[in-house]
Amino acid sequence: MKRFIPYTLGFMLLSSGLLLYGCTTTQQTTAMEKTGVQLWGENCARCHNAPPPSAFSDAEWEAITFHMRVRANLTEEEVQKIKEFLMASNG
Amino acid sequence: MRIYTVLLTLGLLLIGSSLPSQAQRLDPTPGQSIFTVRGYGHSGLEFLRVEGENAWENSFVGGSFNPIFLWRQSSRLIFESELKFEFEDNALEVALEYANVAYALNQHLIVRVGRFLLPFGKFSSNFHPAWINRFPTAPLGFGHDAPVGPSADFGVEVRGATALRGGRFTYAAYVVNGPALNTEPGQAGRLTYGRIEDNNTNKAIGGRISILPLSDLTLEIGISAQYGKVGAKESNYKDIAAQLYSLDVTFKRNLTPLSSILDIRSQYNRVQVDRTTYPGDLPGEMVTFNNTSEAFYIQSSLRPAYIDNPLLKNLEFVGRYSQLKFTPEAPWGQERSEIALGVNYWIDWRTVVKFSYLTFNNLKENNLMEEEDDHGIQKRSPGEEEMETALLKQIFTIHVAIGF
Repeated sequence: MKRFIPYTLGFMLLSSGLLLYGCTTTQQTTAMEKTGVQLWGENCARCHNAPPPSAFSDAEWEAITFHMRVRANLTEEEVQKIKEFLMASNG
Repeated sequence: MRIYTVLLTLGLLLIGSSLPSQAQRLDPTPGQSIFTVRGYGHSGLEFLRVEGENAWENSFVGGSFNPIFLWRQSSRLIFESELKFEFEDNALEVALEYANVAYALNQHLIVRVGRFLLPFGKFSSNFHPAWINRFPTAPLGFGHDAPVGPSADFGVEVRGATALRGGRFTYAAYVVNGPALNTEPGQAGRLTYGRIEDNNTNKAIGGRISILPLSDLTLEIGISAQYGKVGAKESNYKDIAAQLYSLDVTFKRNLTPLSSILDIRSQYNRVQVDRTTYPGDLPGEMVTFNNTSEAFYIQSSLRPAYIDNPLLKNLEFVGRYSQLKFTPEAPWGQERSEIALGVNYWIDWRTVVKFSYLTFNNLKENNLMEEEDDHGIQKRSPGEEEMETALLKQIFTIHVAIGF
């Protein structure tokens, strides 16, 4: 347990530092104001590289975006904007 | 505890059934059904060296193949399932990672029923797939060997998200079968996760909340917890409970001066089982120990994705430190740390070749089993089942992972 205390404290310190860094350098934009391309880039990149719109068909995007709404905890509005962007860019 | 479980389960189900407009949406409009198969797989070459030996062993490894089946029945209903095929001990093993139905109640709430990945931290639920994990292995305590915390279970869950100023607030709550307490000599005190059948009438409750305070969603801080009795019904351990906690922090940001993407992932898990006495290895022996496990990892990667050089922009440099305290006081306990370094090359957005070097420090290894030596004297030695992984010292791997 003793060894874990410094790691935990370091962990929390890192979190606080990142939070402060981010808060002082980011311009606030609400989800309502964001475009589909913006939401696509921000949300996909939280876990993996953002897939190009051409990677899947429109029908596949319907299923995949629903799947990712559940997995990544997105709101319905965000998923709708992302889906519209992907389909519009898919030719 | 039981009445709270019943009330919570009923509450979760009532949320769905009490909304009058939802019933008709369960019937999908013809033509809306969509079926697709996605997934991932990996394979590679491994060089490994075990404790006390100088020679390196090497082998091509089959890796695994994980198809994900998605049936989108309507804009509000989806079924998802993931299978896992892998070779273990020269035999094919098949596992059902998850299979559940998810229904979107409204813009901010989804209910899931079945076997699902638990929102306990982020590694097991989001970062474990081979093409997302930056190393070919999970951090110590976050994989299937010596797990500290659950990855999937059977039950019901509600989850969702809402905008919070410029960022986002996410939430999830669930009721599941919960882990079971092993009371067999040699493994007594260990928890078994994701059982098909519950070992008691008590259900585990848990959840996770997280905040993404920045408008570009680059930072997420999450807290998870789970509680439930783990002893079998009508046994001496029926009142033994387990408390599980997790804290996770992830951060991803473009570093303009370096033309690079910085990605930091970290998580701390703690599992505490009520203190009690278990049967020991020897006849009539009883053992009592502090049944607490902890696992921690932090990983950082840097990818110079915005420079002009076509080779360098696809490289990613990654490092990871993880530490496991798997109930060190138990006869099967262990304490290990790991340092991993790697260089990954991204062939495209979902295909990566990983060159990884992992080194382990075995701080404590109890995993002892009784056996007799040539003179008939009983002594203790490492158990065969976990000896291979417990005594690993160094691994160098070249792995290819692909998402599809």
